[in-house]
Amino acid sequence: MALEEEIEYFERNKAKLLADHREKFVVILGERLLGAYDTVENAYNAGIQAFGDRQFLVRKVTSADQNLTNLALMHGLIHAHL
Amino acid sequence: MPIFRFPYDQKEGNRLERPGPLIPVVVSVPEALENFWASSGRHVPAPIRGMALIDTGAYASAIDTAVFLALQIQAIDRAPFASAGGNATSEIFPANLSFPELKISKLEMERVLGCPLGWTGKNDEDFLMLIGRDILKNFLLVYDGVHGELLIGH
Repeated sequence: MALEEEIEYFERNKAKLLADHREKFVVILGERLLGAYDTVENAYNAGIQAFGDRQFLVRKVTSADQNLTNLALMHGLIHAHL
Repeated sequence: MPIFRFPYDQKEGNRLERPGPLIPVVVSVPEALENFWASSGRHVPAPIRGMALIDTGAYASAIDTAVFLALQIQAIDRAPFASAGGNATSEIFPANLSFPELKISKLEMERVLGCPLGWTGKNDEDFLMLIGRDILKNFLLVYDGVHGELLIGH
């Protein structure tokens, strides 16, 4: 699955990432941490500059819940017709 | 603050109620990726036009995954997502958005959910996006169901 290696690296090193880069956005390719950035836009742009169009991970280093909700999608109501 | 009006024709049924508050959107490749491809002589896919549904119930905006595939934009993350079938994982993509009728061009979004929304790509009226509160936080929004009109200010 795409980004599997990067996400595994992130989770394995999360405690250290939290200690060093809390609330920053990190860019990871394989097991290489490119850097930590203040905004997701800066992180993405840095990833493109370094890795071109290779697939890389951009993720916020946070202990907050990252679950996403979208009620209509969640309940399959987008295309409902009564 | 300029206010943009979206009148929905009430003669053909209640078009604001069904299919809902839709506004035109253009999705294109993020600027950084476009510049990279252009500098390396690679063809940049043309922007995709369609309709976006304003969804105040959604935290994160979502775009049909097929749009990202057509634009050759790769996911930059995955996130847990509650779906009808239980908890799932959705891919997160960057995108460059324009809302021509709101005079908004080049709104760079780095975290848009990729979801199946039924986009076919057959015409510019195809529904391809849900506008969530991550974008709506910049807008003043009035849903006037009585007069079949949507007002958006930003």
